[in-house]
Amino acid sequence: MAASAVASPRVHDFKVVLLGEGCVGKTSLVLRYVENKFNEKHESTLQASFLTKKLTIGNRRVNLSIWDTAGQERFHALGPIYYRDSNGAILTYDITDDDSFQKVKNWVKELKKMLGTDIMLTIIGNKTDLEKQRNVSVETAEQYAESVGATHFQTSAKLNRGVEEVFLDLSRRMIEQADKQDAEKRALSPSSRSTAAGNVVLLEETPAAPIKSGCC
Amino acid sequence: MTDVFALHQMDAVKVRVKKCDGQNTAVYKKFSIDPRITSFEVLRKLLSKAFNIRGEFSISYLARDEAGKPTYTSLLSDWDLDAALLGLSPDSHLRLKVDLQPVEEGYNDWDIICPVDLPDEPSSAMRSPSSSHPLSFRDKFISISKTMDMVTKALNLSEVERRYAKPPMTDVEYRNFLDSDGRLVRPLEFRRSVFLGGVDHNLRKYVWRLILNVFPDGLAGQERLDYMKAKSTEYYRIRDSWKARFSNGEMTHQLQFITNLVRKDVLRTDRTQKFYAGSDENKNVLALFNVLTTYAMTHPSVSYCQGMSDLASPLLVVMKDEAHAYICFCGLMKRMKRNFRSDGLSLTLKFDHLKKIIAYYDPEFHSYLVQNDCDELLFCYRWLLVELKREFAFEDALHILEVIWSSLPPDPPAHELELTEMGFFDEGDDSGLHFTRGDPRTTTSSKSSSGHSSGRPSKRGSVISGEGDDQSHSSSEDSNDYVLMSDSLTDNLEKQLVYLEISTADASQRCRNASEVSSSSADSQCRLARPSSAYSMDNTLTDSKVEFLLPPSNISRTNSDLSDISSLPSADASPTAVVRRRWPQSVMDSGVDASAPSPSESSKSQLPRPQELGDGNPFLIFLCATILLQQRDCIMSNQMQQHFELAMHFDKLIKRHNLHKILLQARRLFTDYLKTQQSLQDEAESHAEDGAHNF
Ligand SMILES: Nc1nc2c(ncn2[C@@H]2O[C@H](COP(=O)(O)OP(=O)(O)OP(=O)(O)O)[C@@H](O)[C@H]2O)c(=O)[nH]1
Ligand SMILES: [Mg+2]
Repeated sequence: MAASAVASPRVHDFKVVLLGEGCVGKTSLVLRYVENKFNEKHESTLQASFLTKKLTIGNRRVNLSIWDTAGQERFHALGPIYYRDSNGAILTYDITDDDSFQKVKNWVKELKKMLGTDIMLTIIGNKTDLEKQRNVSVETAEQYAESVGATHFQTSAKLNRGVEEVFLDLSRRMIEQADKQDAEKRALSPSSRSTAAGNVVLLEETPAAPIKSGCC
Repeated sequence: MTDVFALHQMDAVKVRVKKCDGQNTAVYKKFSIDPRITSFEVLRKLLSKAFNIRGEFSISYLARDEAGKPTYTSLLSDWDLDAALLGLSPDSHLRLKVDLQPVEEGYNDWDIICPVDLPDEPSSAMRSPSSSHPLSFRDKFISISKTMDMVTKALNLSEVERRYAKPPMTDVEYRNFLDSDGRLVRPLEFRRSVFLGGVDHNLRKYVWRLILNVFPDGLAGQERLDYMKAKSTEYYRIRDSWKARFSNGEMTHQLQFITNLVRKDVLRTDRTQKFYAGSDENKNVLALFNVLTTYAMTHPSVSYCQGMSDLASPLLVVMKDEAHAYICFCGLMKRMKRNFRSDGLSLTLKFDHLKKIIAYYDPEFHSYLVQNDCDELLFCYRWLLVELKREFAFEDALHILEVIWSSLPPDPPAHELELTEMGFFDEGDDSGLHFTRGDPRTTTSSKSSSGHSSGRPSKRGSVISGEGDDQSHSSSEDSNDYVLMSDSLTDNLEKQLVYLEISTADASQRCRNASEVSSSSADSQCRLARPSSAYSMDNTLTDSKVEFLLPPSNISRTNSDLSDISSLPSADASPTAVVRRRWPQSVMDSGVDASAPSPSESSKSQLPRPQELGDGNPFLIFLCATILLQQRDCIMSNQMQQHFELAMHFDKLIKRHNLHKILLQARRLFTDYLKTQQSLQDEAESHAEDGAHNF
């Protein structure tokens, strides 16, 4: 069990949840990011769905587990199931719909209350291709994001603008956060590395624990 | 006439059949038929099953020609069959020959498995004197059910399919459920038929209105048309009151809120369907928008919620008429609005019941889910919310929806279907447009006649309206039964099989079977005389009554409270309904489900009762359970251990499920469950009676 965390490339398993009012484009964003697809008439989401994406940032490998949730208010109660133990949250609004921006604020409040500062927040204004119908000004949104410690991005899932950047930036911040938590834990109890956050695994050192066989 | 009488005198006729396909050697089979109930059509079906024939074939029988020489003569009709039977000398076999014709491409055995249009064909009624005495006929049928099981097992055919599925309802079959005035008779059998096989697409328009409880009981065909007309007018009036404000720009906050929500969703609901395809200006998309907005505006306690567009869309596709779709939507939402309440209680209950069903039928899988923290079954949320509409390709979804709807007891409105919420105030309501029934005298008289034709005495006033004899109708007697498939419809063939014995390969076996025919019919005679069978109790109408669709506050009540519950008024707007559930012994005896999981006896009573299970939709729970159980091997062998893995797995299966396989097993499990519940209730009742010393 001798650990040498120094040289091994690390794999991070991060959980990311997409939240936001119905029809703002959450599903479209994930589908664009994961499968590079866009469907103008994609059906509404009635039940959270799960997608994954792998990426490499420097010497870090990141496995993203993404929960795309159902947006409409009536499904709000299910939120906690999907955001609990998330490392990051993407809160989306539609730039043509001010109500959806208000919803983002509600989500921020709830997440802060439930998860404190452990979760990295990204706020997205989607549908920038509909600039003419914009109802939420960039300044307002950016100011707000800054005030709550979130990053703000503008995207168009339709035109594939800014989507990649959102996930890249969020991943970087989640790595930083994980490093920070690691350091804190090491400082607290240098000997018991095994109690570190479950999202860090050593690549070289495969533990004897059962490894899952390949899925179908 | 004397000929027909002669036929009645005959008991079993032994039949010997030779099958020739032109190439291989001939195959022989031997069995018996009851000439009184075996029509030409039935004979054909028997033969096709006996030899497992998929394509066309012709039948001929051995008769003596004018010269007295034996020759094969074509057997093409009931007439020919009569002639063949009457030409037999006593104790001789009816000798048949079956010639195969080339198999047509794409002809699947599905189509010939169940007799669909048979039950009410006038010809078979003429042939069978017992059809005028349905009870005695039925008794006989039950008493020999054991024999039949043996026989049907010997038949090399898909027993399960025959019992738990049938082809979709056709126009001919539909008409058989209507009397000369177009009134729906035998509403339970009607539902059962839809439950087993769905409906031909072009019939859906008519059948859906009936199974969605749009009409009050007992309307004649013309009255239904008038009703739809009146209701449509009412719909347009309600719709136009918000439409006017909408187009004037006098939007209230509520109207703005609702139209926003609805617009977002109709633009992405079933747009891959031709009906809704193309530009956003598609008038069907607009119609869907109107339906949903009108509903949300007039039902403030429900408003609009995602998922509703999925429920309304098929209705519009099938009705092809905005007002009719709206009316059906109201019929559907009367039951389903519970799913969309923000308290989520109804869905919570459904999840809980689904878990219980899984634990009951597959304890191993259940503990696997519990161990892996997946027993919340969240990946079934959408299944329960929109009753599986999203899980299947559109055409299949139409089918599964109608099967689900028909699994529920009829729940007709006492007077007429409400198009707005109770207490909803509509300024424009002058009450002048409401539907009124046709001449009450004609209605009453035809009602009572249909009461007789059902073969059951009408015992009491309608339990639905509580309005006494005026409302009593044969259908109300049965109207709250759970659909059970082992009824006259599916078992029609079994009735015909009463004396059938089919031998398998060797001759000695054949001889033995032939002797069993007589012994088993003797046996059946004595069993018939026993009055204690479940079925004879049914005939004397000692029905158990339990309230169906209990309001949530009553859900935790136990069996011992049942007598109280049945007298409680329902908290729901729907009138007090009564469930009568009796199953023929034959279903219980059948050994068909050898492969089905057999749950432990002790857990029997742990399952929620039918009127509680699924919060008003017990069969849906069985469908969802079936989908899970059919994937359990894949899930367990691939060690999917986390919620997300299961969610992904089932997401991959969206629109790829095998509808037929799922329905078949779900119907089977559901029947099994209903039987168990029935016997539990019988026990409870007999205990109660013992205690009361009343009789
Ligand atoms: N013009 C434009 N339309 C978009 C964009 N992204 C999504 N949409 C459209 O917005 C609608 C809703 O998109 P979804 O991705 O389904 O929205 P959602 O947030 O997942 O909605 P829910 O599942 O209801 O919570 C769809 O019709 C999309 O085509 C975009 O960047 N530009
Ligand atoms: Mg979505």
